[in-house]
Amino acid sequence: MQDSANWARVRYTVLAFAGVGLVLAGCGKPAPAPLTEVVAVKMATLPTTPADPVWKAVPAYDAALIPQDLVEPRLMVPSTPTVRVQALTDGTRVAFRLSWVDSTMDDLPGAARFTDACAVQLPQVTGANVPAPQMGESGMPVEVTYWSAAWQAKANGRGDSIQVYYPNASVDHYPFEAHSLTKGSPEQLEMAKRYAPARAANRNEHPLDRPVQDLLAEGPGTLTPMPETRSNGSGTWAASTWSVVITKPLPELLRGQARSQVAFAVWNGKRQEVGARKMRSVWIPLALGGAS
Amino acid sequence: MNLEGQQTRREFLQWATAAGFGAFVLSATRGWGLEAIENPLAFYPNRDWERTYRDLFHPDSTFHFLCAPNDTHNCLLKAHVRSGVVTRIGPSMRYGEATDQDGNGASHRWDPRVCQKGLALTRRFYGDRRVRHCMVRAGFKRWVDAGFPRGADGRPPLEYFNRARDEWLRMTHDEAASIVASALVNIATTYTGEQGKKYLEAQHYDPAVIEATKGIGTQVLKFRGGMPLLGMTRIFGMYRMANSMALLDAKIRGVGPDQALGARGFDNYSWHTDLPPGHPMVTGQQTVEFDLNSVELAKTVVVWGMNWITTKMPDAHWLTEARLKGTKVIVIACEYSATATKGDEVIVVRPGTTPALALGISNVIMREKLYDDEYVRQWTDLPLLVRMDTLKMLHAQDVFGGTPAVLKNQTRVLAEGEKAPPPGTHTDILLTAAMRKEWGDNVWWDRAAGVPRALTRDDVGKHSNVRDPLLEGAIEVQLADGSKVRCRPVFDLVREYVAHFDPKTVEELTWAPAVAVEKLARHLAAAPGTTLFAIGMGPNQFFNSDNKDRATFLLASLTGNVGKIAGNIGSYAGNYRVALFNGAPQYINENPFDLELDPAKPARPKQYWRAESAHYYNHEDHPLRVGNKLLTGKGHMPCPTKSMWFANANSILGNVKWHYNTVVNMLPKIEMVCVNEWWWSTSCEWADVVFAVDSWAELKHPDMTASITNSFLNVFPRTPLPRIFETKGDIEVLALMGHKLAEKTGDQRFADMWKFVDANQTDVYLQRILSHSSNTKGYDIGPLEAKAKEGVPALMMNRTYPKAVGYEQTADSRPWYTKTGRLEFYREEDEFIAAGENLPVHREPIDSTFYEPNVIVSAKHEALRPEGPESYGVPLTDLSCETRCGRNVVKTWAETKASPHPLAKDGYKFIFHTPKYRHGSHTLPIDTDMVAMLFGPFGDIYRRDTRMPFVSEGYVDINPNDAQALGVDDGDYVWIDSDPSDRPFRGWQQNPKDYAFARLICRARYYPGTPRGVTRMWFNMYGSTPGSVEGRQTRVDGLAKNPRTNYQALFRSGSHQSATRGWLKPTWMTDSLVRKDMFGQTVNKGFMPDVHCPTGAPRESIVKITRAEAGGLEGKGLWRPAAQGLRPHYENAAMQRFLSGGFIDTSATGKG
Amino acid sequence: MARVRNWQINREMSYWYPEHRPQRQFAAVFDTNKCIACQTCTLACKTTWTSGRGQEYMLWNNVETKPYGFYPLGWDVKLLEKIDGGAWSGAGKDAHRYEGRTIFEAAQAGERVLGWRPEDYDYAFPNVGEDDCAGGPIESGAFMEMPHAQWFFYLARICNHCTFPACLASCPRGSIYKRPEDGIVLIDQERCRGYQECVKGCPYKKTFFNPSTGTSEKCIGCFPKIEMGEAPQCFVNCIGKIRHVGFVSLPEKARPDNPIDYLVHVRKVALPLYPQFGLEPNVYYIPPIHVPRKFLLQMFGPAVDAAIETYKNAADDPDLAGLLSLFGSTHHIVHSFKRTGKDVVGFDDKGAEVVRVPMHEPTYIRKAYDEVQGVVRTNCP
Repeated sequence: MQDSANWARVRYTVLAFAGVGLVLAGCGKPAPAPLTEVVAVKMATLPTTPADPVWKAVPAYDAALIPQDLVEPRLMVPSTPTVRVQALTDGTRVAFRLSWVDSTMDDLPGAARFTDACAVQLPQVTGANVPAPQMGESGMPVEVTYWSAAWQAKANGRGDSIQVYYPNASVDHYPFEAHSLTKGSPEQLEMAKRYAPARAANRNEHPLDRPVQDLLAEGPGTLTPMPETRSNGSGTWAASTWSVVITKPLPELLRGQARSQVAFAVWNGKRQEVGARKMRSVWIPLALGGAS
Repeated sequence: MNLEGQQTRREFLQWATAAGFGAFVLSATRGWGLEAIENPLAFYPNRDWERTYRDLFHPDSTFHFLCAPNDTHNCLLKAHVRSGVVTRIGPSMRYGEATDQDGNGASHRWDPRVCQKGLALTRRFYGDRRVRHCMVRAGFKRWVDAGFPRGADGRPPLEYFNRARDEWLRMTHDEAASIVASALVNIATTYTGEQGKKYLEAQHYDPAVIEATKGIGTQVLKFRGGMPLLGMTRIFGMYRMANSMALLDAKIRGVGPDQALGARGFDNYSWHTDLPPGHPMVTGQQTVEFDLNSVELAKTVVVWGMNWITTKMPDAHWLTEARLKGTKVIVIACEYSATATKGDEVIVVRPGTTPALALGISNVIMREKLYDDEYVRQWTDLPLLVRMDTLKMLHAQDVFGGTPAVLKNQTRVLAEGEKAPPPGTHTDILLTAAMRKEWGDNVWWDRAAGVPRALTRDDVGKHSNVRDPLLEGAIEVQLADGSKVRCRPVFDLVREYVAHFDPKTVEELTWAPAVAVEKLARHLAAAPGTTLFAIGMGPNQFFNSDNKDRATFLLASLTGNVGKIAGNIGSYAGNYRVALFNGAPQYINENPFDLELDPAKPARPKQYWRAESAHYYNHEDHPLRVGNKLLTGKGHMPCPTKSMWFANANSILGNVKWHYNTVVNMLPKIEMVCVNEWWWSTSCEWADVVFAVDSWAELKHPDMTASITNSFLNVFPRTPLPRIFETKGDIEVLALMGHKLAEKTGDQRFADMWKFVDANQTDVYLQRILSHSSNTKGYDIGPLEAKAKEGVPALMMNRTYPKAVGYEQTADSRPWYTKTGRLEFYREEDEFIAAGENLPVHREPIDSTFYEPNVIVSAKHEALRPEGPESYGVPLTDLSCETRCGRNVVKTWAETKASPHPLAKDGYKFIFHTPKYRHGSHTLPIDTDMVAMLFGPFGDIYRRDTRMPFVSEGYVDINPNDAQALGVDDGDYVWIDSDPSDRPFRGWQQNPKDYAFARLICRARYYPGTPRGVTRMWFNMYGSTPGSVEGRQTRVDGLAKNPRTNYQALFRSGSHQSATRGWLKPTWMTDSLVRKDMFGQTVNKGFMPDVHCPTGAPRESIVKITRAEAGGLEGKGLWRPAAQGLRPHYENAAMQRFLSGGFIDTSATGKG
Repeated sequence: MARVRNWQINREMSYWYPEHRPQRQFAAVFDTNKCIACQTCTLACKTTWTSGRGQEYMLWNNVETKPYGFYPLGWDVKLLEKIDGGAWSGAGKDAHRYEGRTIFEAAQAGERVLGWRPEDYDYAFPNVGEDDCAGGPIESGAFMEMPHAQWFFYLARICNHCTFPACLASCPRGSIYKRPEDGIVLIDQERCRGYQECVKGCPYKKTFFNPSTGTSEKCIGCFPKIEMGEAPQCFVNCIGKIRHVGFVSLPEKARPDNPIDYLVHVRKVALPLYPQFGLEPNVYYIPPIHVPRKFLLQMFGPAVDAAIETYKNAADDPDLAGLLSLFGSTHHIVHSFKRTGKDVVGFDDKGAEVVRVPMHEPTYIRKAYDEVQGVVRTNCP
């Protein structure tokens, strides 16, 4: 019931979306052939999980990934070759479904332990003058939404006790858990924060309720979290494949525009890919569902 | 770049504003400007975050408390409090402001005084093994509630005594105290009178032990305050409690103060095997030592069997700084130790051979006549004559007739029946008339005049008239009765004996190269009186400990090194000397029948309690019997142990030597075990009642202590920290017990014993002690505590700063506390002659030897006539452990090395010794995470290998070549088994249930610093209990942690005490040895706790080692560091190149 | 890459950023001959700064036994192996010039420095090798004189607050900086994103990842104390009294009354740890006198022989012996010192006396009988 309703919406959307001159297969038909660019199909309600059957019918684009080898530290050995991209938009937000092959699921951070991740990058402005695909450039910022397997695990309810990272650890005492402090009292919470310097410094951590973070960059080394993350996401790993949905608001200046660019990046934690050590795409043309 | 940067930023800002990101721009641009990443060496824009670390560092308040485990250091520490929590600890840095009554001060070179164990106390104040409230064992409470049912033999039914496996009940102090009071009354009553004796006979106690109770039930109650000096009122109070038991005896037997007898108090210093038992045999004084800061005044320091660098940590800098300023540091050790790395010269020896080494060095000095002739003549008995017929000293009265001379030199003979005054008031040495008469005077042979001359005990130092004595050879002396007797000077007897220890023999016996022996001998003799011998616990924990003392004193005397600030002997183990407060009887012995309740007036002491060596308890309440011979002196005789209550003393049970025999075979005979603790120790595991007491940081009653290694007088200040859990002060628990006993007996005096505790005036007791002690009179507790609260101690008014025992003797020509007033190397008493130890001999260790244990190594010697095994009705072939203790067999070195240890044939071929280490003061606080993770090579706070009992674990250090031969890899788990006849406990063969937690399994560590055949395991780690083994088996994470108590073991099963045993040596148990009393200047003889009594041999055992499991993660493959090629014997190419310095080429720099 | 001057290797070298020295450079002298490996420094640091979740394994300050001790496992051997040796050149103005490659010059393609990343398990066993000696297993008895046939020594380690930090160079986000007022190197806990590039880049392995906060953390030189004129926690708590904190000048600007300058530049008795790495580390070590020289040359550079000779003569060198006795006797930073007869005096940055200690602790002999109190004063009470 729910499904057929969705399909109805899809069919309607497609008809209304002649601009791209593309016809989606009806229900029951095999998934459409790969695209030559990323097309964000127009849809009233955006799916929030990669498992949403809606995606079955959404055309996919296989984005080739190349090692980040422009600035040190570079990724010297190529890993994930491609990421399959599907996109939907409701006009104000765009949802990307990324899926790529990764034989190991790495979602536990630690010393020399890195986690799988991916990111979507959009230019803040679309024009003749395209920002550098590598994190934008001075004066030409890009918006990045970053998803991490570690954050996904937290969003899925994984706690932060040391046994999460090391199951057999035995720690006698944390000053902020002293018997004389009332658990949960403001004083106790303040003490706990004090012993986590990054938190005490109000580091802009990813929102605990979601596995993604919105960031802005104006060139390598400038990546900075936005004051609030408006995007959301959801990822699952199965059959050696990550499937991640990232839903982000379109940059204001992109709204109502038909075309722009998008870039993607994927990190394989097992191969110690982190930060600049990543597989990335070039700018890929992005067709937005047209004005609405 | 600036212009460019500015421009770029401006453009960005313009754009961002245009884009309607107003609110966001600021945050997005924060730390954004290009110069931030342009060069962080030069400029960084956003540093507000640095406030977080300033905030983390900032405390709300601070206070001082005294950390005083049994390590002799006594550090006033500064606690930092945030939100009511002690978050961290540091040194006071104010020892440099300490002064004495005359304004003399210590310097800031004493600061800082602290160590990692003190800093880790925050983990103990709050950790989950903290004793949070009183606990009573469920079965024990049932026994009490049932009205103490007993069997026909008087024993409580076993069903009530499932110790260490039972459930625990949480109780208030009041409830727990009430239970304990009832039990004390019941037990004392049960074992009083004829019925009591019958019970004890039915329980098969040794007749001598039953006899010792005199039918007085309070004598089976044992109390112990662990190292009472560490808390003159709250810990020493255990003995005051023992004294008050006379009230109970009076009640039970209906006798008056004249006949009443109190309880028994266990010894401490000697119990810990800290007492060097030979010190009183040479000097009459408990122990000779010097403050550790003395070393910078000496030309040479010999650090001998003492791992100073790891066990005297806050005072290690005195040693390294002394060396820096020119003092020669010579280290003698049985391994290449931490202390060895600080030595100018290092001699590595075989464990347990110290007597032989000292005798060997003395031999060179005597042979080459390098000795300090004047010192020998003025201060030793070496010139005195010994009768070869009786082997007794030749007495002047026998030669010249007459009566003993009147003594004038700082000595007073008490009139018949005269009672000695209080110790703190003594000036002269006080002798009884009887002893004076018995000893008489001595004789030396004047070579020049060719006549014998009398010598009184006055004639020492500058009063000595011994000028040209016969030292070598024999002489016939005509006695007053006309008969002639062959005599030899002690010197000659010793010279002949040590001749057997020529450098070559010494090298074979001790492993010390002959060249080292000769070099050291000549070096020491070259500058008499300038060497300090710092002798440690190592040699003292062997059975031949008194041999060691007598031999090292011989060496020190030959080189003029006793009793001088820069020339002396020191024995370092334990903070024992309660005599530093010789006014202590004012408190511990206050007469319970005649209490002084006026705070302004002094008490009227009368000792009703009796002391006893805990080594008999460690020996299943047996004296030493070999064949038909009872070798324990009457004065030493123990009573049965039916109740045991101790404070601050895990060593009496939890870390007792032969622990597993004690808990399996001894504890069942004991009807109540009470422990005062603030941390759930192994002792608590085996207790019936645990009283939760304050930690040092929570003390609400002041206390005080002092030290044998420094001159500071330290007060435990009351602290402002609210009690974290339901605890009381140790002394409040005692006071509470007083009230309960008063209730149960109707005798209010039990409660009045502790009146000033109830009145929160504990300082009254402290002041009484201060005002009646030689070296503290003139101090007021008030100002002392006020200063302590600020982190400033005071200085003891000892005779000297630095303190040097024997200074008065040497500087004031004051006699020693011996018969002759001299340093005595000949012991004429029957027990010593029978033992073949009338001379300072070398005995092989009793277990830790590859050869026949405990043999006296000697050539045939006219003066050695020991009683052999046969004379006790024991076959010569009987080498069983018990017999071994009293086995007096003489063998030459050649014979000795040809007779192997009886277990050698069965593969028991490794010496296994258990010294103390840097990570723990005894067991404190090695089971806290931050300390444990650094204790040894196997620490892993995250316990990646679930086999680990804790975040670290016990291990045995073994020579890599030995391990190879056993097929043991570095990091493997191994089984360690000692003498199967009685270890880990008697009867293990029929008792698999207890064997499961008693047998030792641990990691093996390739340790290149230990010689072949010598293995070592640190003493400090908590052993396994039934509960810890249960935890290992039932917990998912595999922690060896008791599910019921949280007790945390550092072994999967067993401990270092699985291989040790209690040992009793006849020469420790004489009724005849003359020595100074504990307090004051009175000289007496025989048993005196912590002065002349057994000390044991906990460092000894010979073991078999068997591989158990691979060391790799979860038992697979090699332990990682070995697999990585970074361990001894496993070095990969890079590691080999690293070791040889091959990663740098300095050929071009020539000598650099 | 820029060209910078590193006086410790007596030459110019490449570095990721242009040379820029702080107004004052935090520095320390550690006397390895006095270190007892008690780990009090380690606990002082840990209980103050790293008692939080995710920091349990972290030892900003650690003490390891050399040569078999490492934290993390193999930290120096593994890097030395990668650099594969290098030479110190000979005499004249080139004396003690390092001819090999620094970790900046040896960086592989795509890297900013030559680094390596310890595995998680390499941080276990933080005291591996404790008291293990080199020189082969002892067979039986032994007699050792200098240098010892079997040997080990203790190496206390904190962040070197390098002049040319590899952590700082490695951070792609520029989240690590050097404070201009004291040269202390910090990781901005607000900006760090936990890439662990600094962990890989620091040859001393003194930055650590915190899995709970997702940032890397490191020794902060106790800057909140430095700002108050006090010595850091690991200095004040050092009972071996091996440590002295202060500020080091460039050789040509050395001030003889500055304890650090005096020991580093004037007497040249304190040497940098692995100067050949090229970071110009600012913790200076007095080498252990009982250890074979080749090993020490590899670790502390070519000035080792001279340093040891100077140290061994301290007995006849009251200024040196005096200053070394001053170590650890105050919680204040001693900016200058002088010896006045039998005393050594330390002063703060305003020239006010903050500590005075005697070269030898005084000896007091009290009267055998105290007339005032009417009691004997005795050593055998």
